Amino acid sequence: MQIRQIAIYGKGGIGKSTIAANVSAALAEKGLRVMLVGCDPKRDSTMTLVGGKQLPPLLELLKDKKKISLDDVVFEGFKGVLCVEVGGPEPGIGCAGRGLILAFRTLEKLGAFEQSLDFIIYDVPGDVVCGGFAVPMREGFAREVYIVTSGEYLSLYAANNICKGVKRINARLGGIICNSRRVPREKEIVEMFTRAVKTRVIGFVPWNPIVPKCELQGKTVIEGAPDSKQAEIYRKLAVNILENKELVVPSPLQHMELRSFMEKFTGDFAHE
Amino acid sequence: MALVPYRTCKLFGAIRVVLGIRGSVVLIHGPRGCAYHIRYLLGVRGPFSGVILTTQMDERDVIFGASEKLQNAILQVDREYSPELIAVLTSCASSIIGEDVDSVIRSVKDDVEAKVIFIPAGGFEGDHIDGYKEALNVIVKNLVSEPERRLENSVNLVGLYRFGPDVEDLLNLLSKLKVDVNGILTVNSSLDILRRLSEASLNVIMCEASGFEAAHLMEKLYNIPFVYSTLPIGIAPTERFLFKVLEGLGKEPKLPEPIEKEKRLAVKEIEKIAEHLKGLRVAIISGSTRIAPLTEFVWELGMEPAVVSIDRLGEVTLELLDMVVKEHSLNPRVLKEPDYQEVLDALREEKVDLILGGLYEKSLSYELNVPLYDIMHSEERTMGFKNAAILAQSILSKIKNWKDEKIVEGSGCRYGK
Repeated sequence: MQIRQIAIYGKGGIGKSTIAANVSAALAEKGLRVMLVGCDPKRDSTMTLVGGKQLPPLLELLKDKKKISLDDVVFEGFKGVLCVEVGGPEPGIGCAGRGLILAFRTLEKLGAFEQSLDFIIYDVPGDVVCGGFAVPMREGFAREVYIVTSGEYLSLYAANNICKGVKRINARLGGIICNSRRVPREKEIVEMFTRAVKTRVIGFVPWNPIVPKCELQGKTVIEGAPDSKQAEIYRKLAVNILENKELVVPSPLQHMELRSFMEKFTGDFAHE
Repeated sequence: MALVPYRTCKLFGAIRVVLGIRGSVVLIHGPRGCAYHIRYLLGVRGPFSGVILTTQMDERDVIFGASEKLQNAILQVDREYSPELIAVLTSCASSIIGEDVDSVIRSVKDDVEAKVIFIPAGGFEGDHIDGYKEALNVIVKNLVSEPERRLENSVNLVGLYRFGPDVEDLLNLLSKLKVDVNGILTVNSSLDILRRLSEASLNVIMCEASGFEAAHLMEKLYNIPFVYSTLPIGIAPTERFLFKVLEGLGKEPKLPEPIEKEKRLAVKEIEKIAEHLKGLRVAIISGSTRIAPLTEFVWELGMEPAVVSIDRLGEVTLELLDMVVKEHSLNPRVLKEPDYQEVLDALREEKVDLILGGLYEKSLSYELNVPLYDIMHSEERTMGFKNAAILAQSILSKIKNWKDEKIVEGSGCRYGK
C-alpha cells in the first residue's frame, strides 16, 4: 500500500502538535504504522509520544557535521509511532525555511520515506511564510493538507493564508480541524469559513483541561486518559481523516472578504 | 524575462570600490563562488593583487546563521593579513537570511587592529552601479573625518575604480594644470587619504553613474561643491574636462602653454591617423561614464559611431551623450541597458567594422568577425591629449593587424553561425 502522507498546518500556538500527536497515537492504536515528523524549530511535536523527552533534532545533528543514519533521527514512541524532530535555528537567526528543505532532502536520502508505513504526518509550524515551509506539501510529500484553526480572527487569517499556499502549490485540502478556544459561536464561525473556502470541518476538538494535564505528564490524551471523552474525540478525528476521500483545491478568501466575514460575527458578539 | 545579462551584481561593484583602497581586504560573507569568480574576473582583466576572502558559507550556515564564523573570520583576517581596512560584504546568501553583520563587527571592534566596515552587497539588491554607490556611501559616512583645514586649489576625483598608467597620466596632466589632487575615491587611496577627503575645495565626478550620491553627501557634510563633465578621453572631451575643473576651482578656463602644445601635437597626429580610419562604423559598448567621450573621440578619428550601448544609465549619461551627438550631428543607434541579444542584433544590423569595448565583447567579436579594441583594462592609456594620440594609433594597428590576429584567435571557439 502506498504511504498516506498528510501535513497539518495552522497558526503558531493553535494546537497543531497536540492534534498531530493524538491523531498519530489514535491511528497507531488501531494497528496502523505511523511516522510523525515535527517540522517546527521549537521541536516539541513528538514530545508527548516519547514520555515528555525532547528528541535530538535532525538539523542539530547535521549542524555538528556528524554522519547520520536513520536510527539517529527516528525514534519509536507510543504504540510504535516513529518520531522525527527536524529542529532548526534559534529565533532571530539563520533560515528555518531552508532548514526544512535540507531536512526533507536528508530524510529522503536516509530512506525515511521508504519504510514500511501506513501514514506519515507532518506537523508544520505557523503559516506558509516562505518556500521552505511549503516543502512538506510539495510533490512527493504530503499532498493532503489539514488546517487547524480556532474561531479567532488571526487564526482564521492564517488558515486562509495556508489555503492560498495549498492552492498555489496545487496540493489538496482534506479539511479544517477546529481546535476550540472557547470563542462564542466558534463552531458556527469555523463552519462558515470552511464553507467559504470550499472545504469542510473534519473535526471539532473542544477545550478540555485534561489535554494540558496529560501533556505535563509527557503523554497524549490517548495514552494518558484513554477512557476520557477527549480521547474519543481524537479517535473520531483520526477515523475521519483515515476515511476522508474529499480532497479539494481550496478557494481562499480575499483579504476584505475575510474582514467583512469576521466583522459580521464581531458585530453580533457586541449584542450578546 | 530570461536573458544573457549585460551587467553584473551589487557585490562586484562594492568589491571594486573597496579594492581601490590600499591596505584593504574584502571579506565576503557568503559561499565561496562569489569570491572565486569575481577574483578570477578581475585577475583576467589586468594585474591584480587585491585580497578577496570568503567565509565559505555552507548550507548549515544558511540555516543556523554564521555570525560566529564571521566573527572568527574577521579576527583571523586581522591577524594574518594585518590590513588597515576590512570591508565585510554580504552576498546573496547572508543578505537573504539577514545575518546581523553590524553586531558581529561591534563585538570584535576592540579586538582587531584594522578598521572594519560593513557594506550590504547581496547580489539581488542591485547591479554593480548600486554596489559602487552603496560602498561609496559607507566609505564617506565611516571613513572621512571632519576637515581640519580647507585646501585651496585641491580636488578629489570621485568614482575611479581602476588604477594604472591611465590614472597616473591624468594625475600628471592635472599637476601640469597646477591642480592638486587631494585624493581619489577610491583608487590608490588609503585610509589616511580618505580621512582627509573633506579638505578638498572641489569634487570632480569621474563616474557619473555612481559618483553623484557621494558628491552630494560630501557637499552636505563638508560643503564641498562638485562638477562633472565628459571623461577626458579624446581631444574635445579632455579639453572640456579640464575647463570644467578650472571653472570649478574659480579659475579661468585656459590651458597653460605646455598643455596647449600637447594638444596641438595630438590633434596633428590624430588628423593623420583619421585618414586611415575614415568612414569605419564603430560600436561603442561601455558603462555610462565613457559613452559620451568615446562617441566624440570616434568622431574625432573620422569614424562613425554606429551603435552606442550603455550597460546602465547614470544620472547624466544621456545629457552628456546628447550634447556630443548634437554638437557633431551624429546619429548613432543608442542601446539603453540592453541584454546581450539586443547588442548582438544591433551590431549585426548596423554592420559595424570595429567594436570598442572590453573583454565581455570578445564573443561578439568572434561571432560577427569584427575586430574588438579592448579599452577597458588596467594597462590601457586613454585619458589626456597625449593618450588620445596613442589610443588612436593603437586602434589603427588593431584594424591593420586584424587579419593576422584572426588566424591566431580563430583556433579558439566560435559561437553561432
